[in-house]
Amino acid sequence: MLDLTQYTCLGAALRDALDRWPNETCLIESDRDREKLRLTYSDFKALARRLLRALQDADLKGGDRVAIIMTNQSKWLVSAYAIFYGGGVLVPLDYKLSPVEHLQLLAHSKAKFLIVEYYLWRAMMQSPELKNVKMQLVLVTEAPAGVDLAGAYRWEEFRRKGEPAFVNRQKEDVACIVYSSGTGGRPKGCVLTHENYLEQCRALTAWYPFWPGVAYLSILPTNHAIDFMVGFVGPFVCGACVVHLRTLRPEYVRDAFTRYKITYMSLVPMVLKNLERGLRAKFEELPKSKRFQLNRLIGLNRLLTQRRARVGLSRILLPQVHSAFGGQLRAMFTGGAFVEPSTLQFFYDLGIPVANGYGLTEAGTALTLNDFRPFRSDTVGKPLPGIELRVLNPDAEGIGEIAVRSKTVMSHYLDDPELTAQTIVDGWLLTGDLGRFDGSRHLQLFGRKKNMIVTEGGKNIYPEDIETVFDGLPRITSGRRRT
Amino acid sequence: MPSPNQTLREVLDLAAAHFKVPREKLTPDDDFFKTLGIDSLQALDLLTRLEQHFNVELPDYELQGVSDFRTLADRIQARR
Repeated sequence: MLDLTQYTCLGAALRDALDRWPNETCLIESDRDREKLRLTYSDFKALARRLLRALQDADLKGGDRVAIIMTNQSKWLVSAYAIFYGGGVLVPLDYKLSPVEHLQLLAHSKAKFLIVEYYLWRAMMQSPELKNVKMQLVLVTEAPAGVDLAGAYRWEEFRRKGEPAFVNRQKEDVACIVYSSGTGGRPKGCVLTHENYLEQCRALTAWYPFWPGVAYLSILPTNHAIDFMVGFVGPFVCGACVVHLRTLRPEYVRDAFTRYKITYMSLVPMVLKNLERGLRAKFEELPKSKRFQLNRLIGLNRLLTQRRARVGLSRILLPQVHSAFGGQLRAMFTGGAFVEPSTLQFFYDLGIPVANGYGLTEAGTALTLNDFRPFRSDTVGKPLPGIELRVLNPDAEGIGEIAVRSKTVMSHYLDDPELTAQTIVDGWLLTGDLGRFDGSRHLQLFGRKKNMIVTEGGKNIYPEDIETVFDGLPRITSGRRRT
Repeated sequence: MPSPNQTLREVLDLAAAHFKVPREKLTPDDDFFKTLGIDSLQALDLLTRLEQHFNVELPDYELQGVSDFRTLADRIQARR
């Protein structure tokens, strides 16, 4: 991988990555089982440069804000690279928000340019709020022929020949404004610097390296911090390949594993649970003797991987399970919501480690991650290199608010000095999450500080714990009684 | 081309059969996540079943923001 200590900005690091591995495949886009696009680093560079030349001719300057609202696809990454190369500030917005919410955040971010997928722009065009948003230029992807775009340009046609200008940025310059929440009264735009991303990338790839030949399956939205890092920046600075799947349907996700020999993927707990259900159903269909044999092999694998994950050995012991996942899968990453330990254990016993982690947008991407040395299904892992965590005002059980100090922590909240001052105190970011460390420095989470209930007897009750107990009971789903 | 009402009826029939709930429990304006007790992945699964039946292709985004049978049927009707 590139030595990221040598760089001051993402644009320069990505630029050198494109030059270093020109013939490696960097991006595959698949719609269901139809492969739509395959780009080498050299192809990617050519596409992005023509786009950037046209953007610079339209007056894109260093520090200008450019919003992207798209589902996962190649044009997302091509556009993001062009923005960074031209010294722009990326504002990645969640495509799942409503048109009104999109327009509110565009206004709040003061984005000068917008790059948006057609079906989202179509909805925004119908909103009366559109007239309140002042943007210099809108590029729309995949617009059908002949439709009215209300003055926007077609992304596919917006390109110019000629050399775009590279605009260097310093480590402390703003790379992205990422909204962590607050589409209502108080938008929370996390202002993240180039240093934040470069340091986060170094920390993550120290534990989970990419290299040419590695294929990362990207199904989490790229606007989210985790996919932006492990589904774009991380693989690119290591010469690896990102596979975009434009559907979340389980049958095509499963197919993508084998089709593209996936090495890593990130997924939300719901998708993980769905994969578990599918596998368990398949195991149930096996004849009794084969199921017995499988269970014995799973038990043996569990025994042999007690101290650390040994994916190579697991592939030999359980070849049919691993071939269903393409035979190259090394790990899956999850976080962001509660993951049942039994689900993590299920996959680990099959030799498919699922690295459960913890992070928040304000602190880059991930703060802790499981490293499988040994596997711990009951924690969210240990702090990544360069991340300092501490528990503030711990109670008798050692539980308190988690605070973080690291080079990955955001600069501030956009246009909100008051909230920034409440959140970053003496260099420590107060996460609002409750946790404690166990004897081996693994972090255990106990919910959000604001959710905590203190009983009359002074006992702290965490709603998440109650939900966990209830979720295990019959006739209960997602912490609510089924009617 | 079948009428929008016919499409809606078939959507309700298929949803009831797919998730094994009594057909009479489903009405066009029901929130199908609540009525069927399903998550978004299971809703995508239903979308696949509807595609097969109506012989249309519905991108995942057609389901974004859609939670009632009537709107879902409208989206299908638009692509028939």
